[in-house]
Amino acid sequence: MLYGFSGHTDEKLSMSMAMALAHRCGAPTAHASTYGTLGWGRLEESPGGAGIAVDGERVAALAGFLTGRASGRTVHHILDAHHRRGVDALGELEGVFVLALMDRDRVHLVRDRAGARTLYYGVHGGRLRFACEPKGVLADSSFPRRLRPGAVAQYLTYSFVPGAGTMLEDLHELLPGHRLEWHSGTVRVVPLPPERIELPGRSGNWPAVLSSTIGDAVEDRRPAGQPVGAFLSGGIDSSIVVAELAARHDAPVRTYSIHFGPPHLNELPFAAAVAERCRTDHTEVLIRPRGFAPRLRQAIWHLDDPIGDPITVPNFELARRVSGDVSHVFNGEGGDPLFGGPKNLPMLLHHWYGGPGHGPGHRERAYLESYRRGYSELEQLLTPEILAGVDTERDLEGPLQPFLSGPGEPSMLHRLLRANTKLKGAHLILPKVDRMMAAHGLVPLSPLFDERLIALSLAMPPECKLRAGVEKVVLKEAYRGRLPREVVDRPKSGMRVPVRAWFRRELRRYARSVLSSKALAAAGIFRPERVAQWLRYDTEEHESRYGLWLWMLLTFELWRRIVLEGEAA
Amino acid sequence: MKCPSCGTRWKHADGMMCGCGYQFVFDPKTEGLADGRFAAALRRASANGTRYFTANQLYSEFARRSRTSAVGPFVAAGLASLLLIGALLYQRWGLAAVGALFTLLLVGVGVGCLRSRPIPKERFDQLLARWVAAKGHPDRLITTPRLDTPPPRWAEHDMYDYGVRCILLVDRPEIVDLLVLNGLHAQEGALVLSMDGYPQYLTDRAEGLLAQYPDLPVYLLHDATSAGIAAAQRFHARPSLPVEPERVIDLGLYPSDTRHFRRLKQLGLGSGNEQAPLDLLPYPTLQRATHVALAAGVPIAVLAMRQAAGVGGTGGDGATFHDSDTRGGWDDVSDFG
Repeated sequence: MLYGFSGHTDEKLSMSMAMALAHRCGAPTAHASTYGTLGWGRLEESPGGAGIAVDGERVAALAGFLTGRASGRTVHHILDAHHRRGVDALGELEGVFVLALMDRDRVHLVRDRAGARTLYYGVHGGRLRFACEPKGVLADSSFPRRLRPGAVAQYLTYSFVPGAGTMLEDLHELLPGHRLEWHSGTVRVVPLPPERIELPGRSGNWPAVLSSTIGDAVEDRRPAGQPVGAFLSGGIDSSIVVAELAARHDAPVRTYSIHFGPPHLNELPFAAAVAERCRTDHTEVLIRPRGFAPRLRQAIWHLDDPIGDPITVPNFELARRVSGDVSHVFNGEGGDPLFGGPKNLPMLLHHWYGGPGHGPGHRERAYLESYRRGYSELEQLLTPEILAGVDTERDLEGPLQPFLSGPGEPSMLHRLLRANTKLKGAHLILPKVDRMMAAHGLVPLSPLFDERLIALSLAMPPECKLRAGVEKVVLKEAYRGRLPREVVDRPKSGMRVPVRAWFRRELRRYARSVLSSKALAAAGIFRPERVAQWLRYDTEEHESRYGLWLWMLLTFELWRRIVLEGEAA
Repeated sequence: MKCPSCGTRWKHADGMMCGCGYQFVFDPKTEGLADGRFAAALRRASANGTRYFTANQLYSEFARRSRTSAVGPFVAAGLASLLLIGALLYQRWGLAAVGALFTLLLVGVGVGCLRSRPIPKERFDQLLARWVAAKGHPDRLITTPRLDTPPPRWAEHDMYDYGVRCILLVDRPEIVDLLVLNGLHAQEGALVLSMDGYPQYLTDRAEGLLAQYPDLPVYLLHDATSAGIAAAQRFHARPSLPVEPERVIDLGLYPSDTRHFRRLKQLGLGSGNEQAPLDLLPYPTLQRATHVALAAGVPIAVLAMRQAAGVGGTGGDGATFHDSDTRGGWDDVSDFG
């Protein structure tokens, strides 16, 4: 947990922020001075580095842990290095962390380069407030809650809000790999210096280098001597993490898979094969709407700035189940964006064909179309009042433009890799994992998003990742002998959350209640008649994804009622 | 006449221009056809203007509806008369007589439907030409090649370096346009070309891919027509790409397959020996069937047959390729683990 604010002490505000984040730790430690207040709490015994330290009029707190060259350092070392070398010392940190450092009336906030932990901030009444979750900042009841129309369109298009903006006008997210400096009432955000990560070698034996680096990433995260859990989907990414854990960990490894019951497809046999091969204690967890519906609002509250991916709530439910067994949970998130997952080939093929549609912005539009969220629906779904505040080029294509069309990158695959890592990775995958685990007091561990692996992925030739339409080639080569063959060679299928079926049956009544025409008309964001068409599954349009769309809408509406209307979670 | 523009019921006696300014194309009194029906077929074929479609798909939507409507007036008149007679019979002989009468009615309607025929394609082509002349070319109707201009020269060096999952060859350029413009190539990771080399700028790429990856799967997809079958046979006999003929998998349709598809049966093509272009199938059906066929490597008709027999062919969550509407779309996929 990390929170704080600049300026004079305010015990009530400090208490409110701590309470809002109480699920992340037991009793936080807060340090207050005339310059500001900094609160910190330990989620669980982390691999190392976290804490709060005071040195005269300077105080620093680190949530998360340090890895790589920074392994073994603590917040005391950071404070000392800052004292000697100033802000340069803050740019050398590697790991999974957010850091706040108050140097008299100057505040520095730093977020790790992958974005594995989050940090939000806002300025109101001349005071900077910051917290590791939006709810920490919003714990101040005086903080403005003005909906940002562009963010609504972004959310529907991406299923998350990309960039430094959030759903609220005055609340901002510190981007991964950036440092914020607050002084004399102004905010300045600067990128951290480029990574200077030493790779294990460039011998050309990329599979060997890769497995060695993944091994290091797992090693840096595992809590020695404690039982750990791992989410095991049966895909190659989570299977690799389980294989590394099983080979190294000195305490029981428990694996967990989810399924949605018949008649929905599942990948349980693949997960079971990996668990058997790696000799883990394996559990299959059934997720059904009947079970999670009573906790849906709670899950959305924990998720905070809304994320419309349907896997969020199954993650929440699984974390709830796992929290009785272990306190540290590994996952395989990161394999897709870093090693040529299934989102890349459609974008490459878009460039193969000529004809209409190759004008300015075509790449960004093609990306958003191939992403297959609500991009095509905005005009018909949003009310004119909201649409008036949306600038398609700025809000929707803008976040992609630096990655897809900016200068300096000669590889299209690497453009996509950076876009997928910096946008979906940092704004959807990692925050989702962080919040859903922290909701149940778990430490999330995503070794495939390690900074060294990001650097390694960009260093290796692109064809190591995608070849002849086969995804994640180098990952498969690296682990071919260590995992069941059927897991290595099968194509990516993704986790199929049966929202389409749920909204026709188990969630039908609930959705109709939350998304009633009366409620939507009162809120003035969505056109009730369009939502009614979605609920009836009858827009009769190409590629209608009613299940996903309704899930995004339901998530948003519950978030809106809790955050903007002040309803109970 | 219902105006497709404003929805008003306009009296024929008031002329062929609606009060909203819409000029009617067809005269229901002399042609037995209203603009509304044609516009409805256009809406369905284009998925409310969101999907590219061919003239065959438009015909398929139109003919499916015009077929039943041919007996509609007779059915309505017969129903009204029989209700009247039924009421009289009930008063005199009771419920059994009424039951017998309605059985007779159902048999009559069934026979009427069976004997009705969809509008001939030639007649429909004339109607479409008149519609285009009056209302302009529908935005997403594919009639001429749209992908024949090559893309720009990209600055990135690796745009073509990663290959594809398969090559899908179809028998007509407009099917290439249909599949590519609607994004099937991207969803399947497939290079889609016609057997005669359209678009021309991609044939070298296809040859290069096959030279680099000799095991790359190559599939054929073609009409159940003489021309479609001949094209597939020609390719098998003398492939225009460097691939061994025995490695080419034919997923296409044959006349004997038409009975397995509900839409084709609706169009009177269910007896198994008619000529049926592939794009008489609605796009969602074609998309889903192609997806499953590519995954399984078996002809789409075999999958349709299996599905009809209840032994698979669905993609999960009730998304079957017999669905002729948008409900048969794709699953919602997330990342986990």
